Amino acid sequence: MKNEELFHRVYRENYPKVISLCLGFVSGDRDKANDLAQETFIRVWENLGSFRNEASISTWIYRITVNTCLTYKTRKKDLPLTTDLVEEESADVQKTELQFRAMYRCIDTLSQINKSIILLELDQVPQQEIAGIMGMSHEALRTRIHRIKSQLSKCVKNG
Amino acid sequence: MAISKSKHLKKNQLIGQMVLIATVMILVAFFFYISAFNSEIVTLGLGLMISSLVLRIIVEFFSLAKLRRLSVIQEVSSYKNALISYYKSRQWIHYLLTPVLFILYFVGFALLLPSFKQSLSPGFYAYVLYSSIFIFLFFAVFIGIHVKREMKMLRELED
Repeated sequence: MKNEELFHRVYRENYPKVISLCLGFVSGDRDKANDLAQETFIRVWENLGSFRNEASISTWIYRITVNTCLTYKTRKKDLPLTTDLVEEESADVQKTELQFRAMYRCIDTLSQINKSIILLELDQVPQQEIAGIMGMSHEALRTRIHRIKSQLSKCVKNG
Repeated sequence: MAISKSKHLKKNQLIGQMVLIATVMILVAFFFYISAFNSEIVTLGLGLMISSLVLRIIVEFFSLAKLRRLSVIQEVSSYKNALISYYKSRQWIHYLLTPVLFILYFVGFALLLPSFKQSLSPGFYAYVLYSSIFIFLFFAVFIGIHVKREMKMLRELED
């Protein structure tokens, strides 16, 4: 398969997860997330020749995405991660939405690395793969995720 | 599509460099236009302004090239460490080189003022003087914000 064809396939198949991760990094700012996703795919394109199937393509793309997002500089105050509440929604739905909102606000307070880990975990990336992306052992990652989750739950409880 | 937008993104990254290069070109053109080589003071003044900008462009060019050389396909923990080293290595640029060059640029401009006073009308001289104070202040604040942002990023990576 020619590089260009391969790139188009990789782009089509991976864009949703790249944009979702980027959105988490920039607190839901869609313009910045689009810029980061584009920058990520430029780097994917530039490095496609060096992809050697040692890692899965998904792990490889996530690595480039997180690394690209790490260089992101805050230019203006980010929008807080929010979800719109619809008035007619039931009290239960509203409660869940409020909890989500609080959780994303707490994720914003994490260090860049912890934020990357938890965003990948929320995207339901298998822990073994997250360990491969981050460059740490599975055991160390599990401990770290446990610590982040306790930190987040304390943060959410304290508002 | 991502590839087609790559040129646009890279262009954005080069804007800062382009502004500096354009300023150098204007200064060089001005140097020859007013035959500055006939006066030692004017030559020294313009020479200081031009050389401080040229040096800053060269340093930034190599620094950006160093950042681009960091491999984004490596594991996130290694990339993070490489980024930390990179931003630490830039501290001497921010805290030593840039202020020294900024002062040299200012001194160069100050050396030109007597010649401006002789050759310009009082009104235009006052305009040049006051507008340049405003421009110097603007750039000092702009550089300060940029450095602060980069140091904030370094702290976040070190967390």
